[in-house]
Amino acid sequence: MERREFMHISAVAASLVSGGLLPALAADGPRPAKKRRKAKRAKRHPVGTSPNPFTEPAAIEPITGYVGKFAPIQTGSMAGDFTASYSLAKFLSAGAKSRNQVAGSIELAFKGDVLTATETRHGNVVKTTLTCRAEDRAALSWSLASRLEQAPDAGFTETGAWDGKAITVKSAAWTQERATSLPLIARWALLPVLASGTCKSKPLRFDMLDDSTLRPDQTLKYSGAIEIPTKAGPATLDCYAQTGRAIVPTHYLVDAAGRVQLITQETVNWALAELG
Amino acid sequence: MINRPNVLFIHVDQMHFQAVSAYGNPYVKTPAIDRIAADGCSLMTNYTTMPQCCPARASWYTGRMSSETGVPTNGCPILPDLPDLGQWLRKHGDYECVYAGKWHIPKRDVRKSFRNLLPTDARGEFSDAAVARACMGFLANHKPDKPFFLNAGFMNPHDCCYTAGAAGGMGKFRFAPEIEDQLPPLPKNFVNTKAPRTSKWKELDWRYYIYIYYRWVEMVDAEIGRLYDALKTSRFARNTVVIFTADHGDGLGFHGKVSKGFMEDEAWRVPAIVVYPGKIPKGRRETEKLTSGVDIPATICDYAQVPMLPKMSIGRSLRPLVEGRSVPDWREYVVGESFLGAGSVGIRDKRYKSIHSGNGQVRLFDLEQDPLEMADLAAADASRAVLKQHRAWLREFVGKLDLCTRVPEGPKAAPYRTYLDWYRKVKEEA
Repeated sequence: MERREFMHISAVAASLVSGGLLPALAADGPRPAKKRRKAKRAKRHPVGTSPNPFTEPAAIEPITGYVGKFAPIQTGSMAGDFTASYSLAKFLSAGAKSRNQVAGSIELAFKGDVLTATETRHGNVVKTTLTCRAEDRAALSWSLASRLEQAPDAGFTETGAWDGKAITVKSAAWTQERATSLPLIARWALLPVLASGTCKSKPLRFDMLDDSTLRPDQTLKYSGAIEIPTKAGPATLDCYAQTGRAIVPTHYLVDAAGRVQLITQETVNWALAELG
Repeated sequence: MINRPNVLFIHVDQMHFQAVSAYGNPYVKTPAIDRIAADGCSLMTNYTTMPQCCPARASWYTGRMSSETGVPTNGCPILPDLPDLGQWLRKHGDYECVYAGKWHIPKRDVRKSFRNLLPTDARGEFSDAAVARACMGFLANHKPDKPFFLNAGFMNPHDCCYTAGAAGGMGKFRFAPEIEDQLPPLPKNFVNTKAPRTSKWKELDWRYYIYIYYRWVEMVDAEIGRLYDALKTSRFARNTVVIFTADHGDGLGFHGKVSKGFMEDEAWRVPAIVVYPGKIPKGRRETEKLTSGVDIPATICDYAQVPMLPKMSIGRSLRPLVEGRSVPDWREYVVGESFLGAGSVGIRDKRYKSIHSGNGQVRLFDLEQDPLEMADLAAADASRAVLKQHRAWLREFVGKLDLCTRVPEGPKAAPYRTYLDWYRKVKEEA
């Protein structure tokens, strides 16, 4: 039995019991722990209210406890030059809803073909400056600086470049090379791509640059509009799903104006906090 | 003056021994681990000391089995007087001992044994990139006036423990039908066990679990690759021993299981690779010699040219093995312990594996004929001699141990009592 069906039947049965239309079963002696827990749960969630109305769609599963506190940003655009910041909503565990904690952030600035990103999480600040190809936002060159709050002398900077066939990453201490087979697009450079709506009709195939690591064979595909609960009431958003090597299925929820409001992975999820 | 090599110890959490593309798995791509395997010696029959995080890690850093360290299961506190590798290499080799990422040895403050660059976080997606960057930052700035012992504690693929959605729902498993054509098949030894976590899973859910598990392996592989290549093209490349392994495996649908703590190979057996340019032949695979998690610290001590950690009852240096030298007196069998529930001990020889339970039950598998451990031969008459030999080895193993007899108060006492009572009876048999 599907959970949705089960919950529906349970809710109907519970309302009949509470209305006196069905006898509530009572056992002699103490009830087993499992039944006691069930009864406790039923008491916590009054008849007619689902313990979790947000278990579907899959796209927001890791942030069901967070979306109710999230209000979509209503102004600004992700086309042309813009700045944006996202909060990192970390998935901790699942109860009736997910437990989430804001555990980091990223500040983004898009100006012309240059994207600047400053990400802070887990005591590590990473600043990236990336030059993109105008027509498809493919990564051409970048610099990355990592700084550790706990160990300031363990920072480094490196530069990278993509020549259409391979990426090369260099620092004073090392050189690395990785072959690519598809256009190389950085994770955060997907924002204007998503805002443009071009992959609504045609899936995007690309290799992804994440930090300075390569995540090959990615597909970003439109997977329909979904309604989600938010602090400001229900919101209908376009959902895009990204799958590929070295990533968990990632969902991007985009509003009608092309603003990427939420991005969910599994334990790392992003919520748009500011857009200018 | 002794010219001691640097040591880079890379460890991951909950990695199935077959989740490596270089070893023939078509459902996962691990270019970084493949590169490490191509550069060094893979230990193909390597087993953790106890297939759970804390005990396995306590063994890596002290050289003792989980019944000796005071950490028989997760959360149990390590014996305070046991020296760990950080303290040992500092004291005896003047190493700069550095740590980043997952530690998970209860009641041992990593900051007192190592210079800690980055704290533990239990989510790999969240912290593994920072672990790689912290270690790379150390390499970029280290002055080669003293050798380093650098430890990179990656979390993934352990994020497979957090897949459940809200209200016990299936999380992103609901996405499975969208990518059904990409989902790996179930393992051949899959059976539906109706375990609590998975009792409602359908075939598609299991296959999605395997799919996403492999993605987490690939995610951590990307970070390992970044770190490994940073080392390999750095000035430290020629004089650094690299060791890669995992604390334990994951069920991954084998025998219808997920998670760890049991002695079937999916949980007990783990990948292990040792690289030392110019000393260890490239691309070697050691398929016959049986190795253990307690061999890792012995190997590190050996390469670092410091004395062995005290009272290493079982561990032996892998150095002659991985360097391709003949080692005629290598161990005939390897033992793993688990003190969850009634407890279980796995004994593996070249061909057979027995799993002894604390409640007296014994299972026996012929890994040559039945590598997926599907046919229990324990009741067969023909198995008597093998079981007798394994029983003798169990007695020999127990006889070598310097058991931790400190038993804490309260519920944590159970695993200690499990091995103390059980092993006492085993000793009495002798």
